[in-house]
Amino acid sequence: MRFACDRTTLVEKLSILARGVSTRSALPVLSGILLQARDGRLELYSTDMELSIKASIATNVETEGEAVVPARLFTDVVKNMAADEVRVEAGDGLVRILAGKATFSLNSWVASDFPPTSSFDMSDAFALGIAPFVETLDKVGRAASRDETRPILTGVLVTIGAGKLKMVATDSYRLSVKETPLEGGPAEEIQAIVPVKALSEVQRLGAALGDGQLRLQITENQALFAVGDVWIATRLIDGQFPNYRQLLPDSFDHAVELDRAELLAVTRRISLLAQKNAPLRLQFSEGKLTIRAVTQDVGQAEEELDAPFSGEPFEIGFNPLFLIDGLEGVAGDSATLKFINPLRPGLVTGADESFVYLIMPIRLSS
Amino acid sequence: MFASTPAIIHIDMDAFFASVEQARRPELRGRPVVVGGRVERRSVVATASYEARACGVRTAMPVAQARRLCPQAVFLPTDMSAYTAVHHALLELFGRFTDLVEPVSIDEAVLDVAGSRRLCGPPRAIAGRIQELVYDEHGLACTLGVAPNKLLAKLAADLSKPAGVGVLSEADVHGRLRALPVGRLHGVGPVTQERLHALGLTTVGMLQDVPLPFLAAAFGRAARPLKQLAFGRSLSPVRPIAAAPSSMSHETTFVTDTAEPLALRAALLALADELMARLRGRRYAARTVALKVRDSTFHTLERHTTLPRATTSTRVVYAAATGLLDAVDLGPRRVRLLGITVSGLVSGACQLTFDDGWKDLALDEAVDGVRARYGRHAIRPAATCANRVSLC
Repeated sequence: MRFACDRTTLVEKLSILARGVSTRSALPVLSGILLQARDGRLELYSTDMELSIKASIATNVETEGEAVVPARLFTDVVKNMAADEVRVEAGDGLVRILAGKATFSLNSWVASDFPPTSSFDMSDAFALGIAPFVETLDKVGRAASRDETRPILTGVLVTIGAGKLKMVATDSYRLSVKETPLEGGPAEEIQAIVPVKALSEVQRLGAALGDGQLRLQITENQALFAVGDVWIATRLIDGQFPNYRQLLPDSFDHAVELDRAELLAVTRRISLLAQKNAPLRLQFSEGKLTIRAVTQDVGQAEEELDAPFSGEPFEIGFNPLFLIDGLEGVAGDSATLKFINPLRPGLVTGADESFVYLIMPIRLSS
Repeated sequence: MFASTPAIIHIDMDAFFASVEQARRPELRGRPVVVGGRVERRSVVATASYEARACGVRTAMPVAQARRLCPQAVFLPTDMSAYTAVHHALLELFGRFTDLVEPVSIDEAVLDVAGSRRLCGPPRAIAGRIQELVYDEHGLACTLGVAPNKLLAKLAADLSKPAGVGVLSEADVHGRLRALPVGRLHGVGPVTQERLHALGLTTVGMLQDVPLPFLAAAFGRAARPLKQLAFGRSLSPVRPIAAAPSSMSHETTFVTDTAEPLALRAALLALADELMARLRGRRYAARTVALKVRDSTFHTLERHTTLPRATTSTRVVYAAATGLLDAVDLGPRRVRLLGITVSGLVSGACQLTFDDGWKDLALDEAVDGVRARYGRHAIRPAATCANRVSLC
């Protein structure tokens, strides 16, 4: 294998590939990046066996071939070269990187040790807008769990049909549901539980590209995304996603509509004093909402807002970050908070209810 | 916050459980009272009133033996929730004098009143006032020790029991303290005492005078702390919040050994009910549930399970415990004792999840509320009544 390549382009792609590299795997080769040079292109692959990433660069291939380079070291070497162009040559278990007058030789793995890469076939893919996808994910993704003990909750339930995109995620503390109108999409509705880790990568790439289309293909056990000249493949999560409709109470006893920006600002401010897992306390009484926080040995804060509340005063506690996530997800000028009692979930929603965010309270000691 | 002469008060409630019973049942006053269950339950004495102690009844003695020593005594079951309620009321009372109140145990507390002088007077006066208030408000006697540090304050209280107020100063370290047996020092246990005696060191004065190298030859690194004890030195500050327990447990011995599944389940429910009420009372949630089973042959085994998340729910812990019990192959053996221990305790605010049955939470809360108002026996799971299981 021998090729020459623009250094900046290569570094940019290598940093994307790094997210698919597995440094803690039992298979050492997974800490590497597979380089394949053929037909005037350099293709790069990384995988942790759950998530696989592929990138492609048009380049000047002198000799076709392939090799697996240690991801971290190879990236650092290329990044630190002075010249604008780097040459890469492979042979005898070594990969040489040449730029200007510098020469590096790195031990490498043989390409046949790397897991098969045939999973990037996108013949059944359909296109959808990047913007609605990124926007939906931004509101829902953060409610997905990062705790691997319940794998199903580390996924986002994605439903794509003609004219709409819907995502649902829950970490068992909150539930986020967002529906977005979509131009295009598949003729038949498809549904899959996609790991949030892969979706975050798609979101990152999509946000960088801004507008345009991404292509998506969902098969029985994997989802495949193409964003620009980067492909992301992920195993789907097998199992039954929690029946989120059952979690949504049929009705609420209190509904309070507030100015979203003001409520968010107050919540952020008072949260400064809700440290060390201290709850944010929302006290509702006739015509007002008082938000309070107390952190032992640190201090306390409170602020009052006018609120269209009437009835028996009550107090409910929330994790401040969860509440902020919910309020940030609401589009429009107003946010509505709905409650039943301090032991049952509270609902955050906007005017049109295309975004629904349910949070379990923190139990307050009496 | 400002440097001032240290002033520590150690408070020790006299015969606490028995005194609470005497305070709420005037007919028991002046009579020997033994708290700790009944003979037929094979329980041991938790507390004996001073009248019962006069007959030789001691804490941790089997109730049967206590009954032989003091047949005229009134034997009462342990009513932990009542004692806990008084404990909390007492902490509130102590809190009127200083923010620095450290609950050492259910019947002991330490107060740092150095900053309270200007407002409440000298430490000795504060101690006297607390003793009066405890008697006026709760009808209970207590012994107080006043000293420059925790170690001496406890010793001062120990030396003044019952119903006294003892004061130890720095000067006493070289005076009164010297004549005391080494075993009186908090921190010198039976084993250390034995070893000190073997060296011919029987009094605190002797321990003060013995050269450090001589002591080090026998005790190594422990020699220096021993000398510190002898001089009544302690740097341990008053910590306002009780150190977090690592686990809480509750167990019961059956009146007659049983293998009856319903009786075992009812006992587990009663245990979970009592234990979780206590846990919730202290604002903890638990992650790990352990089951202890002792059979008729005194063979004991323990099984434990870790929950996906910490819980406060009686039902969740009961379900975990029955799951563990179901997995135990008893064979032909009968069960003598069952116990539940919860560990992996987390304190503070409890984040609820969608999996929490809110009805369970509301039920636990309602039951706790009824008990706080009408007493521990006011309400309990029906299943534990049907089988006449009681934890007394």
